[in-house]
Formats: sequence, C-alpha cells, structure tokens
Amino acid sequence: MDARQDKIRNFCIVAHIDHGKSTLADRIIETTGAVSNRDMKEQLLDSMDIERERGITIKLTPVRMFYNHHGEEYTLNLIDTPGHVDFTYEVSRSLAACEGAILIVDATQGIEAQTLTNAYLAIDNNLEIIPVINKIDLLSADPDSCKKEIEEVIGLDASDAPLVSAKEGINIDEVIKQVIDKLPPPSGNPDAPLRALIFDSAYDNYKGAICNVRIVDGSVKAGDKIKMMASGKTFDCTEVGVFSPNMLAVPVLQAGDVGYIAASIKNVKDTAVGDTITLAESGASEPLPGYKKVLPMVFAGIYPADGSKYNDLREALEKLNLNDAALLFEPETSGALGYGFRAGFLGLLHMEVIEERLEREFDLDLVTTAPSVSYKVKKLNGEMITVDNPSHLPNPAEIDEILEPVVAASIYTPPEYVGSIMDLCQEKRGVFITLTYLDSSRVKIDYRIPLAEIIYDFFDALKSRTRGYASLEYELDGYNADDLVKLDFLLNGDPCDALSLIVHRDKAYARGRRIAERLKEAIPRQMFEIPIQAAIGSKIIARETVKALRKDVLAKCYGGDITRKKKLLEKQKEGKKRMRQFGSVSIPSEAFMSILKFDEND
Amino acid sequence: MKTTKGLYIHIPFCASKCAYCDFFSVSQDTETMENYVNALVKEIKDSSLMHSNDIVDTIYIGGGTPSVLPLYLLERIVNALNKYYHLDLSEFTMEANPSSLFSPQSVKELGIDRLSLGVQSLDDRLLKLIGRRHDSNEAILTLERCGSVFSKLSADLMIGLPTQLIDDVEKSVSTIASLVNHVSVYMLKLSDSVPMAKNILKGAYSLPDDDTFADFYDRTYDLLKQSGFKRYEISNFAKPGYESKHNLKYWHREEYIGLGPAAHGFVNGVRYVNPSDIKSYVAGKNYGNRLAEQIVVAKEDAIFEKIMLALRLPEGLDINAFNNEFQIDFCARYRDVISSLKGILKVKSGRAYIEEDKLLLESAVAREFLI
Repeated sequence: MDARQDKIRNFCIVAHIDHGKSTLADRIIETTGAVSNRDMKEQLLDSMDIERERGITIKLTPVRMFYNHHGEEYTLNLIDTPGHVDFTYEVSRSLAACEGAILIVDATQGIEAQTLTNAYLAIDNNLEIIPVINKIDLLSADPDSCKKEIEEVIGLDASDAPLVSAKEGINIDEVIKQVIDKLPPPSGNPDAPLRALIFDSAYDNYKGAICNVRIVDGSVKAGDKIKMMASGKTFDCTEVGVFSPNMLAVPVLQAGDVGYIAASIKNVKDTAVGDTITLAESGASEPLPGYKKVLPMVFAGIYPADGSKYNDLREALEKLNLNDAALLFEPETSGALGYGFRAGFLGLLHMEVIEERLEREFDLDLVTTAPSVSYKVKKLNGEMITVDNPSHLPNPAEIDEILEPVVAASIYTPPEYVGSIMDLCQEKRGVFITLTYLDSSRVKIDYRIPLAEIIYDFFDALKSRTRGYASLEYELDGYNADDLVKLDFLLNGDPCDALSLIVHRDKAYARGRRIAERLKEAIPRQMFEIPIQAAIGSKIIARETVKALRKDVLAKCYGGDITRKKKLLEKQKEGKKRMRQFGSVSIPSEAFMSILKFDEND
Repeated sequence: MKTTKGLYIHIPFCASKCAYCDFFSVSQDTETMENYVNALVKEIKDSSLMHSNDIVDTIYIGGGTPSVLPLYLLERIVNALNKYYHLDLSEFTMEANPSSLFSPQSVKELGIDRLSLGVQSLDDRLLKLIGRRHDSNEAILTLERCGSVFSKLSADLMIGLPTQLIDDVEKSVSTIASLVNHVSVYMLKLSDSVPMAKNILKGAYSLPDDDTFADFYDRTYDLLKQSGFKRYEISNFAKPGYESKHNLKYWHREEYIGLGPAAHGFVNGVRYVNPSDIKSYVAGKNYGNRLAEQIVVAKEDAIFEKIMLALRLPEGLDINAFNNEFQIDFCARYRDVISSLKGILKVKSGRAYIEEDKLLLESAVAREFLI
C-alpha cells in the first residue's frame, strides 16, 4: 500500500433529480473549507446558467478538498456527474474515475428511477456505495422505510446511512467521515507508465482544450510529451493542476490524483471522454477499459432565422463545440431554409440546451427543424445508407426497407398508472418486455420503443398521463425495420424539405392532417392563395388552403404621406425578411416549429 | 423655364378633434387664427421669391378644417396668393365640414372652384361614434347647398368604421353618389394615439377584419360605378372630368409647394416638411422651404416613389416615361418581381398596373419593388 494514496478519496454523488445532489455537494465543499462562504454561490458545481435554472447538471466540475480525520489530513476529490439520461456515458466515465459513490435518497420520496439507474451504474463500475438519507428536516421524511427500500430494492446495507439535511447542513461531517472510513483509497501503481482517464474536457481561451483526468497509474508533469491512446495524437503537456475548485497548477499529478492536464490542444475533440492519456515515449501498452465513441441519437436542422447570420451561427456552433465534443454539426442546405447545419445531439435535452445557449449566449434567432433519428435504409441494389435528414430519404421505389433505431426503455411508476402507460407505449409502437414490482408502490415497466416515438412527444405524454409521477430511462437497443414512410408537405405545390418527416404509415394520415392545419394557422395570408398539402410520395393525404389576402393597402396617400409610406413599406419589408422565402411563399419561423408542438390528441 | 406646380396650404384649426384623427390641428380662437393667417401671408410672400419661375396651376387648402376660418381671413390668404404667386389656376380646392357655417357663394367668389366636404358617413349613430359634429341631415343639406353653387363637389366617406354594417355603407354611398361628382373613400386606419384606438384597446368596440373591409370597399366601388363614377385612384372616384387635378400631382410625382405648419412640399427633388409648432410659426421662426426639415430624394428612392405612387392608379406606371426619366429599363430591372406578381400586376401596352380586382393589394405589390 502506498501511504500517499491512502490519504486520498475519490468519490462522486449520485441521486435522482431533485433529491439534493448539488446541495449536498455544496455543503461538503463548505464544511471542508475548500471555498469560503463569501464565494459560495448556490449549487456551485452547476456553473452554467441553464443548469442552475433547470436544476440539472450538464458540465462536470470536480473539486479538491482537504479534511482532518483522526489527526490525519485527507485529500477528497469530488467528481460531480451529469444528471440526465442524455449523458449516461459521461456519467459512467465520471464513475470510473472514482472508488466510491454517495447515493442520496430523498427521505420523503424514496427510491426513484434515476436512484436505481445510478446505483446500478455505480455498482457496475465496482464503486463502494455509501447511502445517505437526505431531507430529514422535512415533516414527511420517512428515513426508516427509506432505509428498508434501499436494502430491499438495491441490496445495500443502509443501517449506518447518515441521516442528513443538506439544505440545513445537518450531519454533513458524518458523511465526510464515512467517505474516509468506508471508501477505499486509490490503488494504482505510481511507478507504472502513466495512465490517466479523461472523464471530461473543457475549453480554456488561454490554455486550449483541458482534460479533466483521474491519474490511475504513474505520474505526469509539465514538459512531458503525452499521447491520447484512442486517437494516437501526441501533445506537449504545458501544465498540470488541480481544482480547488478553480484551476490551480501543481508540479506533478500522481497516481490516485484528480486534476487537469493542459497541452495546448486546439480541438476539444482530441480530448475524448473515456480516452486514456499516457506518455508518448515508453507509455502504457494497454489503455484503461471502457472507452466508447459517443454517438448522437437525435438530429435536427439548425438555421439562422435571418439568413445573413449563417456565419454567426457557424462561429457560435464552433465555440460551443470547443466545450462539448458530443455536439456534431455539418453544413446543410435546405430549399426552404437556405444555409444552415444538420446537428447531432445526445438527446432532446442536449438539443434544447444547445438551442438555448445559441439563442442566449450568442443572441441568435434560430429556426430548428423537427428532430429526427438516424435511419438505416437498405436499398434494392443492396446498398445500405444512413439517413438523418428526412428529406434525404431515397425514392420509395429504390428502398428495400427502412430500419429505425429502437431503445430499451424502463419506466418507473406508481402501480395506478400502469394501464395508461402501457396504452401509451402501445400507441407509440412499443413492444412489451416485462413488468417488475419493485415494491408495493413502485413498478418498473420495460418496453422496446422506436426512438423516433420517444423524441417526438413521448416524455410529455408520459408526464401528462401520470401527473408527473412516472420517470423514464432508455438506451439504444439496435435497429428494427418497420413500415415507415416519408411525409412531405407541399406549399403551393412544391415540397418544402424542411418540413418533411419520417413516420409510421399508420400514423401518417393523422399527423399529416394535423400539421397541415397548424401550417394553415402559422402561415399568414399572402397575395396568392397557398395550398398546403400533406403527401406520401405522390399521394396527397391532406389539404388546407391559406386564402389569398384581399387587402394590404394604405388608404390615403397624399403629399404628406409619401415619405412616411415609403418608410412604412421598408419596415414591413424588413419584417418580411425575417420570414423564409419558399418560392413565392413567405413562411414565418414559427411555422417550422408548429410541427413540433405536443398535442395529446395527435 | 417656367414650370407648373401645385400649392398646398395647411389650415391647422378644427372646431373639435374627431376620434379617429391624427392630423395636426388645434382648436380655434379668432386671435390665434388672425395671427396665424398673418404668418401664413408672410410665408406666401417670402416663399414666392423662390418660385418666381413657377406657375401655380392647382391650389388645395386643407386641414384641419379650413372652413372654420372667417371669410375675411380666407380672403386675405387668397389675396396674398394672387399678389405674390404667379397663378394660372385650373383647380382651386378647399376642404370644408358639413357642420361649419359658411357661405358657399362667398367662398366661390374668392376663386375657389372645388369643394371637398368631410361627410364620412350618413349614419347618425356612426357619425356620433367617430366624434363628428354634424348629423346626416346637416350633411345632406350642406351637400345640396354647395352643389347648387360648386360644379366640382367632392365628399369624403369612411368605410370600416367600428360596428359598421354593409347596409350602412350602401346607404351612405348611394345617397352621396346622387349629390356629388367626386368621392374619396377612406378605409379607417388608426394610429395608436387617437381616442378610437384607445377604445379599441379597451375592448369598447373592434374594427372590421380585412375581408370585411374588402367587402365594404368592393360594394362601394360597385355602387359608385353604377352611378357613373370611375375609380382613378385607390381611394378616389370621380365622374369623368371631375378628378382632382391637384391630388393627381401627388400620384404622378409632380412637384408641389407646401405652406403652413406641418405642411409638406416637394420642390426641386427635395421633400420638406414644415415644423408643426404654431407658436413658432406665428412668431416667424422655423417655417418654410428654407428652414424646414428636408430630404433630398436620392435616385433609388425617387424610382421607388414613382412606382409606389403609380401603382395607386388604375392605369399604373407609364413605362416609357419612367425609363426616360430614370434612364433604366423597367422590365429588365424588375423582371423577377414582375414574373412573381403574375396575376396581380399586369404589364401591357407600355404600362404596368395592378389588375382591377387586386388594387387593394397595392402596398403588398409596392413592397416587392423595394430592393
């Protein structure tokens, strides 16, 4: 055993959303004095505004702390984890960087969907788990049944679980003591060649892409030539350091440490989460296990509302990409929307976050097309192609079959909603797998459901049918062939590519009708009548008409009105420029959003 | 070289403000009016120096309500015009309200040969709603009284008033068509500051939608056509020979002199507007062509103005004249616009015009010509 590593504990906190993860993290940081109260913002680790507003963690921020226990000073590294299903892989890498985890359970709620998922993830990564019962200050807290649930459902000994209130700061020291007493210290080989696990990366304007790492074996210091084992790329290490919680350079990072490595890396894509860093010369022969290339699941076209802002959008996406390697984008051209990008996201939340950041941080107005999944299309000539933009689907005459991604979905719910959830899953073309009673008040339902149905409105429908009580977890589970068709919308007789969708044939009629109605409402009357048609191939399945405008006139135009009228027309023209010109039809940005709207009646 | 110009005089006085009006006007008192006319006479005199080469062939006294001026003040204005300007009049219009007491005969004796009456409606309920001082009887009496004196008589009508029904429109139009030889039909359009707009915001009543407006207008046009009127501009209908020569100058983009506060003028390619402050005006400050706000109309703007204004006329734009004036080729320059407006804009026999049944799309069409 290595005396230095004996004094280190690397851990994370996992919990269901709203069970108090960020608050407990804040209290631990406060208690150890890593951050003075003065600098303490609510939920320090969630550094993005969007995270703080939504109460979710997207970006991981590790913190190094010190704590005196039994007269010895221990180094505690807390690695926060993202709290959303879109980021499961990142969570698993964060867990892999730790030896132990604190599992928070809300004393008023008990075990919930993500409690289980995260607990299992931690167990899968061989982490020691300390259960902690939170919110004991609340009247409705029931710590005893909570403990029982932990023991029965997860199979963890919860007899010693600290009863805390992160909000009130009750019993935080007990949690820290258990971290030191119960979690194992790191046990890497300090003399072996360097192996550092990248569990996150971020972009710094001065230092380039920064790798947040856990040093498993060996050591690294400024001046070392390092190598990314997955890509084989080498860089000169310019700085190593720790998070205290701000970046603090140190002379060396050694086995067991959590910190960062800067090496003037220009592209965050070269710092892939899950990759192993070693030394370029006489480095490790085997990387750490578990590296996986993260693939986007959801795709959408992103276009500037004002076509002239294309370059601004590109720059903004590039900037976001510096910090978010999971965001993929490539230029795309649409007949209706002009120049823009097809972007790939980990999931819908990821997509929403990116959209929101583009609009908020870069002040862009966007037009986003309906999210799509990535289809595999088998053509009659045997060729297999990937289609992530519905308008690129080949002619039906060339298609043998279309395969769509399917997810294994687990829905956790109180038993009374089982019926309506199963109805919903059935409507969404789900295939029932199994139903498990976790305890008397909690059921887990497993289905295989096409991802396209999940991203369309599944989550909203699930929440509305279960009054918010059900939660959903899913992961990709292969591809299935189904009777899928491309649903096109024709404006004034011309198909508008940005509105195309791939849907199941049985749903095409209802969707086509509904969207045509919505488009009719969203498109303002113009000089000409505008027929709106929904079509599968050449077959029209729904039709609406935007009647021709009859009056757009300034009634009076005498000597004093001429300059004013000209200015008015210019202003109106300017307003019209914000609309998309599709042939002779002007389409407001909202029209493209109208097909996304959730409607229980669809 | 002598050029002919129109001349507009603004009389910014009203007996009271109508609920829909955002025209510049103040209520009257004799002293203010006298001071005002003195200042106006001075402006007529001063401005005439710049127009020594111009012949004024049309005059339009508008407002406000010019008919609230006492006859002797009106006479002073006309005398000044005769004295300082070179007049060779083919039309001399004055606006008047049915409610003001004036003698058509005396007005005519001043040389004014065309009268435009602000009738607006012959429905008493609507007249009250929009804050007009007259009722339908008074309006009809005034029209008859004036019709016996003036051969050129026009009436303003409003359509699209809140709560107005197509029957109201029909009644007003058919009655008026028998009393005048020129009708201006205005679709009510409110700026945010006027009392009616506030009432609409409060939900007291609402304006008809665009389709109803269009129905009212089409019906009005039909009835006027049946009575022998021709539409010669979107809002203006006349029996042949009774078109307003002065107003046509605006749409032909010809030049006009503007006198009085808040009056606009267009002289030597410059559009100007006089400050609207009466006190300063009376005090002799900041008025007239020399001191007013001015916009030198750039060539591109002139081109657009020409098109925008011509589109208001059923016969549209004279393409040859346009090409000669601006040294450009209309059809080549606007090829895409013209083809995108097929069915709405017609290019035929050297003219570009909006199809007869589509004239109410004039603004939408004009916007297409903006670069």
